[in-house]
Amino acid sequence: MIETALKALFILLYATFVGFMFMGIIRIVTARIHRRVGPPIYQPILDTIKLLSKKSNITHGLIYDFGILYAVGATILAVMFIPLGSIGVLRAYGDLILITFLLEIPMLGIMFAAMSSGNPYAGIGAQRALLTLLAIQVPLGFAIVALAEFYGTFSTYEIVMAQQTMGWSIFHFPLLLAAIAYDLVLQAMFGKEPFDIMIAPGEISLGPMVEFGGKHMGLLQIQHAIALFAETLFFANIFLGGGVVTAFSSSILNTIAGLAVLLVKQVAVLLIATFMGAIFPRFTIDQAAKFYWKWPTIIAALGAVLASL
Amino acid sequence: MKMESVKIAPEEKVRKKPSFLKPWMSLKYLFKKPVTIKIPYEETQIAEKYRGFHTLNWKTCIGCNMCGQICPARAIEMTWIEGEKRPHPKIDYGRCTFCQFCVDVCPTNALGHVEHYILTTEWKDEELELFDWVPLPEEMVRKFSDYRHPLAKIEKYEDGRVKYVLRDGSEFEFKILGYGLKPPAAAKPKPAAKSAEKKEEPNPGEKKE
Amino acid sequence: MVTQEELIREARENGMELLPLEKDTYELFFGPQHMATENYSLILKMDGHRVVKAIANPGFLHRGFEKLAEYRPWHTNIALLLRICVPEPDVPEAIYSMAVDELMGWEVPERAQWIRTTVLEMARVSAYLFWMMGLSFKLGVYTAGQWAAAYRERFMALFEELTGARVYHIYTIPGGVRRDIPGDKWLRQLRDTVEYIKDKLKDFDNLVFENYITYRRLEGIGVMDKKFALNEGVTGPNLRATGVPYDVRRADPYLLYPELDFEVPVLKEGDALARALVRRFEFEQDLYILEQLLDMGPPSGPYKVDHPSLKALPRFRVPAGDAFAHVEATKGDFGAYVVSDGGNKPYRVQIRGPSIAHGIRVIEQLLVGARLADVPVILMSLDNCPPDIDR
Repeated sequence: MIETALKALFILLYATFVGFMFMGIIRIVTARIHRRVGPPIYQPILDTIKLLSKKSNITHGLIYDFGILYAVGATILAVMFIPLGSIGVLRAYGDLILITFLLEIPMLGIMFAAMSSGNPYAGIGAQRALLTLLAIQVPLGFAIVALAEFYGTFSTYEIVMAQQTMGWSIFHFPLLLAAIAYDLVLQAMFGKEPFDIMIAPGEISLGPMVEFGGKHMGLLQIQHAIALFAETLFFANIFLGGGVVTAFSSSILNTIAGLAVLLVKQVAVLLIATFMGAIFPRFTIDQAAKFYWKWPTIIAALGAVLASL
Repeated sequence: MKMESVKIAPEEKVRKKPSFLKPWMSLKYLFKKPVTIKIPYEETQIAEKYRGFHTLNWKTCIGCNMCGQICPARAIEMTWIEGEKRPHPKIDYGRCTFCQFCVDVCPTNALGHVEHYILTTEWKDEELELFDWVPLPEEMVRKFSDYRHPLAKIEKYEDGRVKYVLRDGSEFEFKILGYGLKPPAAAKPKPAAKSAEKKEEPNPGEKKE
Repeated sequence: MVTQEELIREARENGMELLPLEKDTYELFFGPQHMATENYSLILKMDGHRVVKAIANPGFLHRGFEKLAEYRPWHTNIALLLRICVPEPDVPEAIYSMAVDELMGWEVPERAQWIRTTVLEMARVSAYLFWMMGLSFKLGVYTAGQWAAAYRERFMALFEELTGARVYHIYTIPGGVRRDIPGDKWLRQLRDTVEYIKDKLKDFDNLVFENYITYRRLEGIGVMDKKFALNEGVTGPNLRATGVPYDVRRADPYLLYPELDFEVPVLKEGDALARALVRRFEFEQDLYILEQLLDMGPPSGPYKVDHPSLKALPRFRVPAGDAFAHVEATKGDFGAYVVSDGGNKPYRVQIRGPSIAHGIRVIEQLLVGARLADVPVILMSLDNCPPDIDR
């Protein structure tokens, strides 16, 4: 009982710290592509501490405060279900559909809070985010179906174990197509160009976050950090082989080596997303919806059909 | 209006073709040195004749008020100082645009400029006095080579005496008798410089005796 | 219960204009505190995310330049009037000085003409880099914007060596220029900078002008046709993108332009993509013009006119009359009309900014039916500069 609680606390703190480091890596890599120097890697931690220490907050009612807590809670719950090397709290119960569902709820929570604030820019941003959410469901669904057909199971832990013997998922052609479609969906979930329509600083003044300040914004930054960690971890587990290492004899060294291998894979996924974000302009909302329902759907559907053969 | 022959560019030179792969070439800057410099630790180069603060040669200034007439922002006010025969200009940096027309127009080349430009304050009342000063001679200003204002403090006393405390500790003191073009009641009225414009708003702080 | 019609009628009797609320549309203030509009404001009536009606709301940058210029001597108006166009401050200096030169009737020496032409061309190149920064930030590809801002720094350093200040130069005066070129070293630095920027044009092409998503964003947006543009008084690259080959440097030549050789781009579609491509081509041509000027070299001689009345500048008088001078800026046709009554201050100065034609009426027509995401892109593709609407 105590051991489970300690493991859960460790996962939470590790996820938050590494998530903030990921946000710092995104900022400094983007700055170097812009030929600037960039902030130090630990800058998002200082920003969040500053935001959480602001004194007064305006509040627009109960839903405004509740929506953010809803988002943070859903993300923390999602992290508990994904296998993290050989540490796991609820990993036996984490199947693909549950984790995908839990990773999409934060956007709904932020929409509740944004729409109840009354600012028209926040309302427009919330509508765009909901339409983006609708657009990414179709390729996402086909990718999950492709995975389930290939491995014959929906459980994440068994997929990770199966990859230890069969090789990484992306070495099989149908799953390579599913991985490409899922990578494009990840761009929208991270909120980076070309699909950052919901944030869109140049047009609608940061969309849903235009009314947040102080403690609300600090909690949103924590949610963003944990969400970055959870999404990259999920991709690394189901497509890149996870972090199971059995080379050493003592289990502590195995755990640490597993976490290190997972970290390298997560940073690779993050860097591809950052590069794509720095070189493409952003789509408008109807262009993005048409794009998602055309090419990624075709690729993922082809992958699903080929995987069931 | 004469029409020259217009050479129109052919359309193939103007249009371009879109592609998905070319933007990836711009990732090469990830491995090059950044263009920006870290300012508090490194320094930028300021040009030699940058338009900055003023210097005044008290011996050659004849108090003709040419600089006051040409200033676009009305930042110059003539000040009568005890011991000097003619008034000297007092410049207000809250209004100055640093155009240096006053330097160009001075007939005896008494007003000059250096390339120092940094004057930052913290909104304390005694620091805001630094914006309003009679420029000092050039050798006193050039001693400081880190581009900051030469004065540290201006102290004003009740009987009109003003003390400039420079940043290296030396002091410069003089007494102000009055402002404006007409001399204070002691001297007889000399014809002031011909000014054809109308000074509609009264200069703040003008004391006519 | 008071109905909407009664309220509107009552307000109109008292001199106010009230806009009625309708059932299916909402109103959005694309206001002055926005990252995309540069101190300009639009009131948009929207249906979903399409604009139904747009009303321009200028006036936030009115500083009263034309009235203030009547109370200052002739030369000091340079320090005042150049704040009318912020990205390209050399253009109002040049047009005012050219108009006063025409009134005085003296001949500006050749070295001063060469320096004035070089300064105008350098200002054009920096203003195009500024425009590229604005377009990139509104499209979403921040990389090209940061590069353009960094390359503009080199021009600011060159201006600092030549004139003494980075942005507001206060350099061109009636009768010539204020200071001489600081030696051959400056000419070599200018040539190195021009070579450097020519190398970097390929990077901008790769990232912005040959990017597939940029084409999807800019194609078919904000279409103007030739008749509409000529009726409304649109000038500059916006007019050249609709098919009219009008460039002031060729139609009414000034300074050294008759001796320089460059091409004028003309496209037919009149949408935002055509305007962007026309500006990209002119950017390259301006670098070519700077190279030709450097090859010609500055002629020797004085750099300003030596007239007896210039000894005491506050008493400098201009004979009575009126004059007009105009110049091709990156935004369009920039002109100044100066009236003198023989005194030492101008009687009237009127500045015609290019954005007054395409910032108010043209925007209201082009925005009907556009998506909300296209509004900043259309504003930037017209290169709207609010300070010269309000003056």
